Order: sequence, then structure tokens, then C-alpha cells
Amino acid sequence: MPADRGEPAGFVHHACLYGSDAEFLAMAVPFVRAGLAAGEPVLAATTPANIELLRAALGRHAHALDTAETAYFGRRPVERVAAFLGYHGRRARPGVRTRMIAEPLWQGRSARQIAEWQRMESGLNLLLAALPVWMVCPYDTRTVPPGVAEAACATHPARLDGGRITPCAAYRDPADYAASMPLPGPPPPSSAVRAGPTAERAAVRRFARDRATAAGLAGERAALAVLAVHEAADHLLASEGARVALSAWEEPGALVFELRRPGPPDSPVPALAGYVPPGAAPGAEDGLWLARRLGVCLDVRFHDGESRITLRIAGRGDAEAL
Amino acid sequence: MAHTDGARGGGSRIPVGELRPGDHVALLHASDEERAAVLRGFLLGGVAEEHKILYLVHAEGPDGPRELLRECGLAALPGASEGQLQVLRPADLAQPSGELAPAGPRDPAALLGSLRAAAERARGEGYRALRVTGDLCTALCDGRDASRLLRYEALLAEEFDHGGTLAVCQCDARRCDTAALDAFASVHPRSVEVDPLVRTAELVVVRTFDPPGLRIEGVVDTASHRHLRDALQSVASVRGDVRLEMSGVEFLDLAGLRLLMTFARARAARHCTVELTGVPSHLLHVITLIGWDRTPGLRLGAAHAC
Repeated sequence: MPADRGEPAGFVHHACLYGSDAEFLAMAVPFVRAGLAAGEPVLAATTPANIELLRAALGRHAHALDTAETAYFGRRPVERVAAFLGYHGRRARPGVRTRMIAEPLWQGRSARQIAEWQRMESGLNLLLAALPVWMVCPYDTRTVPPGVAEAACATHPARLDGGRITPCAAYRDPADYAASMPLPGPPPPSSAVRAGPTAERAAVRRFARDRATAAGLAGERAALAVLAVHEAADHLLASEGARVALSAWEEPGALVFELRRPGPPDSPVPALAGYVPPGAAPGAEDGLWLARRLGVCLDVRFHDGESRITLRIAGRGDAEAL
Repeated sequence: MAHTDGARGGGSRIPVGELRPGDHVALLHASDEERAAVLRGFLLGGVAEEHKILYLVHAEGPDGPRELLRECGLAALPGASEGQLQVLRPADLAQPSGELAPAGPRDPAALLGSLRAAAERARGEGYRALRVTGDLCTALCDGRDASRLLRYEALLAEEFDHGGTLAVCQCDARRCDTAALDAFASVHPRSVEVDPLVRTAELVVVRTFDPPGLRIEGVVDTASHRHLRDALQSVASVRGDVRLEMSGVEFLDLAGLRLLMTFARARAARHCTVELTGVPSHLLHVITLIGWDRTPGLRLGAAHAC
């Protein structure tokens, strides 16, 4: 398997299902040692306990290991992708592969968050496809919620157990996988406020401003909500002749905007659009990235011939924004 | 889009192209470039509107129309009729007819009388109105004459309510102290500025001169990226640092924000900076979120509340 060698290749993405400290170390220690020996940048983004175990096992080699406490290395999927790209951007050297141990945090997450993280795990196969990165995602089978370990075999093309690589028979195409995930919340209630369809961005902003104000958001938070909705709509309106229908409603903890664009049937918005942060040159998905980044959760679907973006924005009770 | 906030030398700003008979405004400038740019608009607008144009020289100033045009960066005044533009000392105002004997160049009542006569003469010559400008700075800086000047300005204000004349009172801010500037500002309800580079229903962009830059007001989205890009291009060759004043920005999308970052990078390549002032606080948040706060050449001033 090419991933074994030091030759830079495209993205290699393995899951490691471990049930003990020894099993974690059986994968991590040779993975890190081989990378450091080859002069590759190596990152371990995992739990503090695992970082401690790994450092102890590596001995003096631990000095060369980059580490990050995984809960804070990208709080949400869109930030996680930016964290990976940021690490790669800072550490990568021409002609040399980068290695990452990237253990997502699963405990205590809501069902919606788990679905989002699983979708991102799958999406990384597309999003990072061009990067010479070998990423291993450890899953602690002692603690992950039911179903999460099984899903790892659908979101990673292969498993790495100790030093042994086994292809995952259950691996699924990321776009299909994303489309199969449950919606992040119920459809608009009958009480939802609606507007459009419209091609006028000013009308979209007015609608967003009115709904944000009605939901008790003011000042900077209202302005950010308007910007997020505008950027999501702007992405949909980029197609020739496009119009968007808007609805908005409140949930406990969130103000929800749904934007629907009929067609065009041959160019739906990809479910994984807007996960990569803006780069040096303008990108078609930059605005969608900003909407993802400013919202709590942004879901993209193509259903019944229409692209649909559902954007959840933290409500006025979000204590971090008080 | 209204020009309302923070105008220098008056309560609000008016573009030189929008001046109408009856207007009495201040041109409080701090650079020759700004003065020349406004005067160009003043002269060209005067010709277009078929106004008689008088340039009053109090102490120092252009010797004649040719010198004035050169100061304004104009080779000629296309379409102007013979004698449409005159450069005069206040004492010369009444000379052509000899009907009025001015009591002195700085006597407010006499000057006002002369002006009124000049306006009537201009109408007699077939012009639709009289437009007058002059640099009052020298008088203002002379403490003894300042009060006389201000009385004159107060009289002017009353006179212009009748609507036959418009006046632009120039003052070089570099040559006056704060008290004199405040006094000057207090008698001018509005100040004049260059015509906007961009003026659409959604977006106004005005060239500013002290420091050089742009004032951006209104909405920047897909419909106006081209306008903003063109406006930025117009200050791309400015030497030294540039300031973009953004406290009047109502909405700026991500692609618009990127235009500002691209502009800053280009300035950095020329070893200059771009300062953004009055940036709405949510946009500062976005700039930092993306990491654009580390853009070479970019300086971020104080935030502006949403």
C-alpha cells in the first residue's frame, strides 16, 4: 500500500478502532515514529490522555511531535477542516507527506452533531483529496456512542489496526453518504414566516434583518445573521435566472432560515460545498463557507429538483455571545 | 444616499456638481489637490449651467483665468463664453459699471452690495445665475479681520436665501488655527466636496484627500463590486498611505471585503498601507475569522458600532 512509504501521494484516510490504550499505541507509535524518521510533519490531535500516553511511549522522539487537544482543534466540522488545512499550510514541506492522528470527539454530542461530524469524516475524502496527507482517525470503542464505530467503516476507505491496513467493505461514496444523512431538524413549521421567491439580494437581507430582529438579535449579532443569510442566498442566486424562496422560524436555541432554489437540475449545490475556507484567490464557495462559519449548522440538500440550504443561527440565549 | 455625518466645516456635505443658486457652502481643504478637484467641478459646472463665474482674490491667488485654470489642472474651459470667468479683487467688483464705489475691500456691507450688483449684471449679460468663489483664509488668519469676515458671511447667508447667486468660500485648513476653522464652519451650513466617483441608488464612493483615500457609504454586493473595484483603482496610484472610511457602510459582502484585501496587498507591494476606519464591528469579526487581519498592507482602525 503506498501509504506505507514516504512518497507524497494524495489524501490517505484510515480509521483505527481501538478498545484499549495498548491498541491505540500499537497504531500510533509506529505511525508517528515512521513519520518522524522520514522527516515528515506529524500531528496528534487526540484526547489529552492519549497525548500523554503517546508522549510517554515515544520517549525523546516526543519532542518532535506536534499535538493538539482534539476538542479545541476545530470545534465544529467547518472549523475542523480549517484546522487541518491550517496545520498543513504551516507545516507542509514540498515533496514531503504530512501525517495526522485526528480523533474526533464523540462523547456528549447531540444526534445532529454526530451526523454532521460523520458527514465531515466522509467528506474529508473529497475535501482533502489533493493533499499529500496521511490521516488516521482513532475511534475509542470503549466510549463512542452506538453506531459511531460502525459508521467509521463507511466514512474511511480503510482501517489501520496496529500496522495492518484493511480496506473497508462498507465504505461509501462521500456525496451519497452525505445525501443519506438525516436532516438536521424538522421541516419548517406552519408558523414559519415566508418570503419570495426573489432574485433580489436586498429583499433577502431585509427578510433576514426583520427575522433576526424579531428573534431578539441586535447589533453585531443581527448584522452577522444578515451577512450569513445573504451569503447563502448569494451562492444560490449565482445561477442564471435563479430565485430563492425564504422561510424562517425559531427553535429553542436557534433562528432557522431555509432557502430553496428550484433547479437547475443539472447543477445542484454539492452537500459538501463551503467547507474549505477562503484562499488567496476568490472561490465560488467562499460565501457559503462564511455562512457555515457564522451559523451553528448549515445543511445543503438537493431534493425534488431543488437545492435547499438550511441555516441555523444561534438564538439570543446563546450565552457565549451575550 | 445622504451625505450627512461628520462633514468637515459644516453640518453636511454636498457634491460640487449638485450646487444650485442659493447655495452658500464652505470648501475647507487641506491639500491643493482637493481644492483643485472641487474648483474644477465648480468651473465646469458653471459653464454647463450657464452661470457667470467670479473668482475673488483677497490677498494671494491666481492673477487671471489662465492661471486659475492651470491651478485646477484644466487646459481650457470648453464651451465657456468670452468673459464668463473673471478673476477679480473684491474692490474690482463694481468697476465695470462704476455704479458702486466700494468703501473698502473688506467692508462687509459694501462687498455685499457689490456682489448683488455683480449678480444683476450677470443676469443682464444673459447668464442664468452668478457663482462666486474665493479664498478667505488670509482674512480669517488675521484676527482683526476675522470678525468682519464672519459678519460678511452672515450677510451673505441672508442674501443667498433669495437664490440668485451661489458661493463657495474656500479656506485652507493648513493655514488656520482651530478657533478660526470653527468660526468658519459655524457660518456655513454645508461644505462642498468633489463629486462622487460612484453614485448609485445603493452605493456612494467619494474621493477624500486628507489623508488620501475613499469614503464608502451604502451597500456593496454583487451588483456593485465593479463600482467598488473601479473606485479603488482610481486611488491605486496615490503615493503613500491610503485611508478607506467605512462608517457609512450599511452592508458589505464577503467578495466586497476581498476587494479591499486585494487592494491592501497591492499597496503593500508598493510599500504603502491601507487603513480601514469606521469598519462595522461585525466586519472586523469576519476579517479576523478568515485571518484577513494579517493581510500585508492592511491596518484596521477603530470599529464602528453596527
